[in-house]
Amino acid sequence: MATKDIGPKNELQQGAEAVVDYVDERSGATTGARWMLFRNIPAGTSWFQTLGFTAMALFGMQAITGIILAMYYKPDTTTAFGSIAHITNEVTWGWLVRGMHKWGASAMIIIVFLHMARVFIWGAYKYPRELTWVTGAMLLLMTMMMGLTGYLLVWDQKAYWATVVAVNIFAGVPILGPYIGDILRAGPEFGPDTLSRFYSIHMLLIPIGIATFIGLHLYFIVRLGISEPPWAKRALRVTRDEEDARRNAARDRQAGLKGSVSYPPAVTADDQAVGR
Amino acid sequence: MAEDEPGNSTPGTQAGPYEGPRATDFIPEPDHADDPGYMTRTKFLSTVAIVGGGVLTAAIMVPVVGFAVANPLKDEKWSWVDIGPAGDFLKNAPPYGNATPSTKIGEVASLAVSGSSPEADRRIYVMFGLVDPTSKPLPGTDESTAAFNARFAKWAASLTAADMDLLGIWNRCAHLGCPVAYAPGSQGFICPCHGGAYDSRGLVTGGPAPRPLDRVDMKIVNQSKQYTADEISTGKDRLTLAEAVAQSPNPKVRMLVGKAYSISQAQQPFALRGPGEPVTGTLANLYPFA
Repeated sequence: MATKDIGPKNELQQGAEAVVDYVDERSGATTGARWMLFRNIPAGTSWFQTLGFTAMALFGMQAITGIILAMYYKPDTTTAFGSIAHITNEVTWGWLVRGMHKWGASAMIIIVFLHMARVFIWGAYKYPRELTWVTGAMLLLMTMMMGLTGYLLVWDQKAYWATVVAVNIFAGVPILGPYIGDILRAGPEFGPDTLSRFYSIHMLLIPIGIATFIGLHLYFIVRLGISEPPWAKRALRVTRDEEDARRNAARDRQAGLKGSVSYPPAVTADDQAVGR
Repeated sequence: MAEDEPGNSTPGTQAGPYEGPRATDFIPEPDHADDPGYMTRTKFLSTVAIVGGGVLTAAIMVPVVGFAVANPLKDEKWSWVDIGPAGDFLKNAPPYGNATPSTKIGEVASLAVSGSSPEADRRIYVMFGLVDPTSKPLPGTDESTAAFNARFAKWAASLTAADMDLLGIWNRCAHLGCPVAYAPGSQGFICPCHGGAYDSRGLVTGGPAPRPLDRVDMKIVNQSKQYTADEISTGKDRLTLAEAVAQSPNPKVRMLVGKAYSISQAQQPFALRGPGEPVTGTLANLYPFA
């Protein structure tokens, strides 16, 4: 094994490495990828921790199939249902892509809830991962909104009335609810503007939001690491008190360097007197 | 610095005493690094960038968000919609329709009425308050127009003021907006979604609805007569049901549908509310701007 590293590499490998080096020198991509992927994880990390990636992979599948579906779907009240029938019955593999999008949506909801349950039961939302939980909660809301807005696009009776009910539930929110309802349905009543509005929200507004929040969510995960299971024998976690004390000390040291705050010497005469 | 170099002599030694600053003087730059109140160049430019960027972003986002949000919040415009000759509805009304003999009020028709958007599926049920239908003959299929009209006139003459109800009941369920359907067997409206139940006047008899079915203003007018705007606004153009029945063979006698309004269980009118919003009781205060 080791002997293969001796001597000139073959030209293909050299070329590939040159390309990687070229990109890495200018972008730091290798460093970033290593930072992102090659992390230490606590003992006891198991398949349960793969649910988040599964949800993200499903989002990727929804994005890809959605982009393809948008090539055939016509977001207009007179043509929407017909275009979906066309996709399902006539376009090559249209039944498959639409089925992936439809069942992938349900799967994503299920997986997202399982992921949330895992984080909740493991207690992984606790300090210092509160913001990971908050961004995840935003992702949950946006995923649910994707379900709501996508459901209407079929524009059959079930889609229409189910969405009427759902929007009226939004409109039942105290004080601002009636406005939310009007904004969602683009007026007092469901109509063509509602369909195109839902289409825009479904394929542009929320996907942008989900992609942004997935980025934030991942950043927090990589920065803070995966939390150990609550039954871990060796606790890696830093308590908030410890971390706050460390940060305060660092801040005080910084202030001390500027000379505006005076500090006692590290070892006082009293310490010496008692032999510390 | 050498004193004897040309051009480098001390100024004061040549043409009298010079008291001003000299190029060689060291004037200390004030160091404001430790003064949080001092506006440094960096601070100033940062503020300009943030404020200027905010103003520019707002200049873009205000119209964009307003475009998306403000238009749907406009108040709905209501106008009278002609839904057809009044006789078309009256001749289907009990006692000439399919109502059961004990029916005081019966369904006549459900009508699609276009609201602000042509796709809107707004339907209303036109309901009539009636005298006891058992005293009235049922329509014969081979009845001549003259006989039908004569029977209408007889019916109209028998109507009393208490029977003059003309109700337009919007089929939007007061719970979450599903379309209710009239069930002749139970003489009421049933919502298919969550089991809301209403009687034939649209008042809640069961289920989750927080208030009765909304109503739409209805009137029957004789369009062969001219009315001033003032007379129309005071309702002088409205025919009573008895008049309408008497004149209904005239195709110029039209039934019009107007503005929708909500009612309480005591049938007091309120401004139109969305589904799920009660009009009376403590919870009605949850929607102060609606």
